[in-house]
Amino acid sequence: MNTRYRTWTRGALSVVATLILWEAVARLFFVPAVLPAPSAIIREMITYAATGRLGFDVLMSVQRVAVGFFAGSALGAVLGLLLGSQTYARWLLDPPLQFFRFIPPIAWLTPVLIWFGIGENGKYVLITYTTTFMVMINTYAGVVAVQRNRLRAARCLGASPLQVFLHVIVPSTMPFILTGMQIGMANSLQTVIVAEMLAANEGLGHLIISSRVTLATELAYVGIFLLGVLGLLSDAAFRKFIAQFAWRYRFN
Amino acid sequence: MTLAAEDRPGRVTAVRQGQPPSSRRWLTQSRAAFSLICRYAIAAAAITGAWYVASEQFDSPILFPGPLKTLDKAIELVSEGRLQADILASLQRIFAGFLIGSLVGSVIGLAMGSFRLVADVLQPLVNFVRFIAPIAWIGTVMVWFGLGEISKVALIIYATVFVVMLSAIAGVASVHRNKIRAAQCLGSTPRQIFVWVTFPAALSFILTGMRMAMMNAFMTVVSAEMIAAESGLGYLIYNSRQWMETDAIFVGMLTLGVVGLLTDRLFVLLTRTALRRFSLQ
Amino acid sequence: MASAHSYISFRGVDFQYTSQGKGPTWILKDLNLEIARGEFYVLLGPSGCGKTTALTLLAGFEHQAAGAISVDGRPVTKPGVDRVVIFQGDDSLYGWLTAQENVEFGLKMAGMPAGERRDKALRQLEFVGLKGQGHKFPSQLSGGMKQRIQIARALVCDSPILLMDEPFAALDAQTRAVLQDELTAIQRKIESTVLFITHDIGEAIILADRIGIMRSGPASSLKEEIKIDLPRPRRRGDPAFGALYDRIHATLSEEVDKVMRREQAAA
Repeated sequence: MNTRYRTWTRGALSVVATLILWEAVARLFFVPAVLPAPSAIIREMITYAATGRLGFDVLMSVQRVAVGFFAGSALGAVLGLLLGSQTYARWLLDPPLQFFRFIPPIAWLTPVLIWFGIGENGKYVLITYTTTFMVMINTYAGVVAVQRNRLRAARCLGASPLQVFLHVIVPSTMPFILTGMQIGMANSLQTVIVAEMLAANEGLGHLIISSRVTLATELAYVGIFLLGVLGLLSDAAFRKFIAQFAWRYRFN
Repeated sequence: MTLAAEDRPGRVTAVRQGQPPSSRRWLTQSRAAFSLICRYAIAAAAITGAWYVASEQFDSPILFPGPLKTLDKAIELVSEGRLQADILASLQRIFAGFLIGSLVGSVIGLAMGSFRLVADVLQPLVNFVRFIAPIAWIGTVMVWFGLGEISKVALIIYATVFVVMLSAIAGVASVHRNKIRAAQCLGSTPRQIFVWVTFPAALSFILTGMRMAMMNAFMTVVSAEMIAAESGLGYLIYNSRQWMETDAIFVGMLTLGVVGLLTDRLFVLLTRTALRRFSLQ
Repeated sequence: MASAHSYISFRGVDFQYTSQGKGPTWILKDLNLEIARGEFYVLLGPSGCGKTTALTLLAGFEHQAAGAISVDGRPVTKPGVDRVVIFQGDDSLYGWLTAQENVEFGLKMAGMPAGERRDKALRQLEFVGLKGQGHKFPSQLSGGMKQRIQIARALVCDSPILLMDEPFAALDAQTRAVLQDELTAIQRKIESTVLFITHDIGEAIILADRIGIMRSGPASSLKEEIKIDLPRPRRRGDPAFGALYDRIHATLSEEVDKVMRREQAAA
């Protein structure tokens, strides 16, 4: 209790001190275009939010990530489970997967733009790919890592291969799927920002990059701040989801 | 349905009769390496074949060039010297940022893992900032460091630092209490414990973190080069869109895969040989 | 060994592992073993002698290179509920299922309705001394309790044969002794045939109707069989126990010495 209280106080003090220091340094030594003060950023956030543009940008980014994330998680989990449990598919597809792992998903932006154009579909495809790949690779590693005695126990308790798959392999792989989703979410946020910076007229990525052109640096910081909030919130929501619905799979 | 790695005859769970003599071990290893190479070759051939057939069916070299056209383009880019230059540009940025970022990340992480005060002070800041994608800072770093290399290196440092830092914290936390107690009762000072026990024990975590950070660094460098650079693989991939040179885009992407894979293997090889005793297995 | 009343039989069983590039290693060579119905048979041997391999073959997880393994005259081809294994570690328990759900697992696979299997599982949990613990997860239970879950999970299937692969080896000495006594009691009530693997001589004498001592590997087989006639429950302080212990210890020591000499030569 005591240490927790101390941790909390120190943390709060550290955040406050950082903000004050930042405010002072920004006001004394820099012009707003180089380093805007936190107070200026907050003011800018409020004015911009009042125009309704800010909410729209956030909404667009969230929508793009959400569509890709849910589609990609489902697809990645299914593909990973199938790939992991099919020896021949694994034998053939493991090497190319290991290769594609090293092509950052964002590199697909250009082909996607050529194939799908600049609209929403291309972004959905890109984010879906990002999540699918991460979830699939993790799921697949999870299937391969299922302890042998778990499989053996199920088989000598009379489980058919399909039952082993459904009642042992899938739940055993759950922690890996969830980890893959967590990484996929982080990567999707990165991918969507770059995609919006290069090929969109709305969204947080677009907000950040267009503010640079107009030298509205405060607004760029608003975008960066909200991106951090989004990341933090999605991570917290994910943890909450696991604690609520998937906690029993965390035990291993 | 075939089950995972289960009950295949020939699968060995434990080799009990000790190690084979070194000459045979070498033979064993080279034979295993050979079969792995064969497997990769077969897989690569299958994928390339599928790619070829798909591109023939699609029949649009501009939208979806086949492997032969891509190879032609690769040869052209190499003979012009462009591909090598782009690879070199990307790699330089990555290595500079990766090394500095790993160093900074380990130091801060070890400090946070070892000292409550440091952890309490930095934790809330780190836990917010690490959720911001490195590329979001691209405008900011260009304002601060200009349009040159330093900006890109700064972004890669950022992309590396947090991953390595978190691994280092986890590494310190993972040191078994009895390892520290053993050192204490063998007469070590706190500083000696850090240098000889905590740090070596956390090193495998740091190395794992660095390996993950390398992927992050690649992602960031490609993004940065797509948005704001005149060289590098990301630039090659994005800029080729202007002339609809899809084959050059494919060359860039495949090169990224190869360079990424080789860098990762090299890192693993280096840590396995030089820092073998510190790695987890 | 009259094969007329043999229930489980190993005849001329060979088994080899082929590790990559290293060539085949014979684990078992010409293993012959007959176990009668209702018998408690303990396989005892130095580590690495292939006793677990023998159990693995009988369970149907792996297949012998030569020879025949049969149960009640039918050859073993694949795992089945008539030969449930109780593993050494707790990694065979399903961490996402409660103790009770773990016990229900086999019944669920067989398609038994939820209410019925719940009743059976609860009764079984009580039988192994886990009354009121059914709602807990394996990670919340001690090592001894986890092994009780495994035993309950096997017993609830009414399996005629139990295969126990060093089930108590990872437990502390007190818990182990308690579970040994309980297993003796359980076995008398249910009259299953048990193949029990261990490297603990005392445990073997406490539990066994008959002990098979294995040679040290590789290419291991049965060296000697000893019938244990001591009345149950057996006590370690009993002079007859001590005599048996010494005799088995002497036999086993020769094998352990062989292993150590070979390891020193290899080093």
